[in-house]
Amino acid sequence: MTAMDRESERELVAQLQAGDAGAFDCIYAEFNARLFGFLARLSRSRDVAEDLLEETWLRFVDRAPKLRPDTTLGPFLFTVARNLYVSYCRSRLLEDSQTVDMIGLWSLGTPRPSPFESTVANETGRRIELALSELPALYREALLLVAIEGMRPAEAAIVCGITPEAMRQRLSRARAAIASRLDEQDRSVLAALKEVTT
Amino acid sequence: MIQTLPHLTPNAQRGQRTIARCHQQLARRRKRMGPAARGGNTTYLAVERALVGGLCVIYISAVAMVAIQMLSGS
Repeated sequence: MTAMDRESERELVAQLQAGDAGAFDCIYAEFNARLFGFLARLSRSRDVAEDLLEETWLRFVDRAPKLRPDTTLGPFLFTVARNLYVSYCRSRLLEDSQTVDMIGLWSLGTPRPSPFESTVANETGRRIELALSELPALYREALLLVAIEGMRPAEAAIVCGITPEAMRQRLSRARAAIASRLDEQDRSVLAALKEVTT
Repeated sequence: MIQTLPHLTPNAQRGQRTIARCHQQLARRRKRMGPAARGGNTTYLAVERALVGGLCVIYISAVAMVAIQMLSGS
């Protein structure tokens, strides 16, 4: 994940406001996969994430003339994406308890060192993905923004429209919640193993 | 641990369509804003210069006329 420095971000914003397609392409290349990952894990659906991603970019271009010269693109884009997801949930009355298989979201064919490591990585990833998808949406988005996107809590707070202190509390609860879910999974695996071996 | 989750990749074909739509939107904006804004600016500058110049000429003429009247009166 490459990080844009503030100066090049300012230049890109100015070029985009002048209608420069090249500037748009640079921003797209930097943020598209990250936005998709955020939306896919937040919505727990690849199709929904694809729709929201397209809408995010169209809305971004639409709002570009009104951007301040010092706009930080990351938080701005993630705010647009999150707001679209919230609107989507409101319109569809999406329930938090829907089930999905997050493994279906993973891209296939990534090179892996060995079959054993591949199995372990898949298993660990599957468990984390499952635990993440079971978290309430508020905790999930906090973890996605800070732990996966590498945003500072203050930036994530802007995206979620809350104070930095509230974000820190939310993060702490989210970490505790995901840890407890992973523990539950461990216990159930151990119980299943006991049943098999006895 | 969460950082180890794999990167999810969006549909490339759909991505190309999105880029094309955004480029179209940007091109429309360039077309709509570019020449109009430049044209409006040029007209505004020309009117402003003509107005200031005209007022200066009127003022200098009035001063000259008063001076001539004062000189011819004395």
